[in-house]
Amino acid sequence: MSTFRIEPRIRKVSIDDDLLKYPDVPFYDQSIFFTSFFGKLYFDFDGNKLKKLKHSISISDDNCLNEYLSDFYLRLLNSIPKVIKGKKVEIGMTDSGNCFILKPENDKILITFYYDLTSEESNIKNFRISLDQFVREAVRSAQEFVEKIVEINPKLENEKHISEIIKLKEKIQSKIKKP
Amino acid sequence: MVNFVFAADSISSAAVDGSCASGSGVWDESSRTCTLTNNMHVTGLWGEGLSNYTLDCNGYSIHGYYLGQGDISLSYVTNFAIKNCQIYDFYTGVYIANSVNVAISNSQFFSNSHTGVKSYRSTKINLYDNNFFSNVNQDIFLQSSGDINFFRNNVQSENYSVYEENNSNINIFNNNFSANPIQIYSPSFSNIFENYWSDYPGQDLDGDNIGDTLLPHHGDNYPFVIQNGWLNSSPPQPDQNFEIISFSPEIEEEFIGHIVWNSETGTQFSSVEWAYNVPEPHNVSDAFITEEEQGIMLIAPNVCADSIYFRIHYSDGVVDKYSDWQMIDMIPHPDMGSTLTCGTTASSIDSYASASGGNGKGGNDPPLVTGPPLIVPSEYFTPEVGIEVVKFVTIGSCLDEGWVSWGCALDVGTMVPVFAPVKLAKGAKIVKGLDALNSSRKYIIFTGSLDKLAVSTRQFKLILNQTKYKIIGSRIKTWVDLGIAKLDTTEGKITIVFENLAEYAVKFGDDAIVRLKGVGVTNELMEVAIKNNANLDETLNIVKPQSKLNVAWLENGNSSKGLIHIEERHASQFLDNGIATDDIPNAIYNALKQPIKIQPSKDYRGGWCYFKLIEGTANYVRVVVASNGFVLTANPQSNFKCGG
Repeated sequence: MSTFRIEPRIRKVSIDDDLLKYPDVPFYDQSIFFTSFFGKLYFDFDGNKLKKLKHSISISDDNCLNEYLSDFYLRLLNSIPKVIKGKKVEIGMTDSGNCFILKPENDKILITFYYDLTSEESNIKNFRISLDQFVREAVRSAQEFVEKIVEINPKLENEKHISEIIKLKEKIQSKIKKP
Repeated sequence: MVNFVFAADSISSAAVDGSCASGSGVWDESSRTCTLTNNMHVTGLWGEGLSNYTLDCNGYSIHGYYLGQGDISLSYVTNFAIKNCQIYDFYTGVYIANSVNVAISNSQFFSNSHTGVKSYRSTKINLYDNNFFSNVNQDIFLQSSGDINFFRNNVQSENYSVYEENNSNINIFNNNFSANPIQIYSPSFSNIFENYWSDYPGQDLDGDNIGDTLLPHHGDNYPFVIQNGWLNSSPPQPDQNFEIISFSPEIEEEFIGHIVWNSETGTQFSSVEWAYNVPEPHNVSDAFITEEEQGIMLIAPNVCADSIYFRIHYSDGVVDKYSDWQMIDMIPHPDMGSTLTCGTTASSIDSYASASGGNGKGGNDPPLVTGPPLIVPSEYFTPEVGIEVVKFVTIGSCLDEGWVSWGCALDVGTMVPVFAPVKLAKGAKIVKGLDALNSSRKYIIFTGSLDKLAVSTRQFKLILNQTKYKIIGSRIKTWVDLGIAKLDTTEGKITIVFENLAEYAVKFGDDAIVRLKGVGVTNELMEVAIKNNANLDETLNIVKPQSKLNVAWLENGNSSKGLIHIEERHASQFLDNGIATDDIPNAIYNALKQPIKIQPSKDYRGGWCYFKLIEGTANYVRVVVASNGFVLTANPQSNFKCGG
């Protein structure tokens, strides 16, 4: 069985960070607050990690993918019902033209990394794991993200993006448990 | 040693009606003033029951014979003034008891073993332009008294500067409180404002010499951060023309709370006739006080009259009666010089001109009545209505929210005569009366000059987006220059053209607005951007995108959004495509204004991606804009993906 992990890595939060101030954020607007969740995603594919081939800025020096994390998890969780139904799904990035393409193949799923610019390419182009493993890791990783965020500021549990992630996650979990 | 006594001894040789004792000074019967010609070394002075009396020390001293004993005792006096004195080495410098209308000015009180000035069960006490220091227990002791104005004094005590208890309506303003161990003890909730406090630890953030932090300080919401700061505020402008921006009845009520309105009864009525300078028929006006038109009249000092004249007209439907004309001197404001007088200060209480009696008929060279009181005799009252000239002190510099914003040409500490029907009962219909007060703007004659505002420190009250703010008058000038506000000098009206912009300016200042206008950003764009939560201070530019959004702006942002993020995360990509870091903002603006394609964000929060063709390995510059117009990020891209 392949190993597959997605680990959210929260950026260092300064003392005057909006994440700490929430909901008392100056010039708060819901449409831009999600940027506070900018961070990194560490992927483990059978012990392999992302490496930049050129001077990619999408992939960090510590082998993570830079992205707005709440956006990523929302898209990831939203993709699950579709891939379970056998539909091909594209998960785009907010901070670049890159995307993941999720292609169900019976009880497996093929994850393809699409890099918009050649300078952004990494060592990993495709990865195939079981669909069940993908779904469980997606939910687990989303749970880890929420826990890390709420640990910074419990009130963030009510922030619209985070609460939506929690809702989606619980919905998927309830379906996973069903026989 | 002789005990000097006003009423029956040395100063007064004429018993209870007072005068100067032989050798102590010069008595002027016409002004009822005793002017000292020598220092007085006395065990005490005692004035009981005197009225309409002025003691002018003319710079000479009155000091205690037995060190720290005795006092100058004023008991049951009315309309009594002490000025230009040095009073020291008593137990209490001046002890006012059971008295009405006492003014003490331009005097020094020091080295008294207990108190500088004490007021007990007295009303209408005005203490101003005095120096208090080295009085052992307190400089001022106010007890069970009312209607007290304490202003423009320098106070440096060994213990309490002002100690008051069980009083009502105390106004303490424009005083320098320096190095007092206990600045003030005021359980009666005095009106304390615009004083200098040597122990004020706060800061003046906007440079108007009035503290903006750690407020209130000793009950003072507008503490000056420099001594005599009020003298640096602008004098009354004779040619201002201002509309009420907003009106706050509750503040007015607090200020003139003892005025009670009443209505005409049958054919009976009382009215006030008034005039500026020497009355002539053409400048005598009147206001009838009726149920429909409860015309309170405020004589605005801004007309710069040397004096104000008024009389009361009473009619019972058969007989018309006119009181004699009375005059109120208009004391020049210190900043106005001697030729322009735009305010009557408290000092006018003891400075009524004396002249012959009135002619009893209206409009023709009215002579003046002699001396106080201001309250018109009851024969001119309707059965249930009296008419009283009420004088109240402006909060000064238009700092008070309500009433000063109404007629904000009044200056620091200005005493304003208001003619009002009055009944002894308190409370009641004040708000209705205030409506009339508001409408009485027609009696305030200003001429407009915006430039004068540029040097004004007066404050105006604004209600912007349902929130109350205050701004200093000079900002109005700036706002007009910036196009945020318009001033109609004909109507005397300020109109806020861009409410969000004005609110932003109040909260954060004008600098960002000026800067953005300098790069061509219009007020209209700023107005929308602010409404959409833009931080103008962090904004580099605001543009109107070609379509989809009304406004888009680029802020400096941080590592997660805005220009900082773009430069940190995408500068190398831009450089790969021939766009230097310094050129990134222009690339963004061009993409917003002339996109080849606009894609909706696939996120539920909305927003748009604007794409602009570029020469490079990537095909486009993509600008990601949040639904409110904030430029989130931008990067070179070869496809039209917009998240999702």
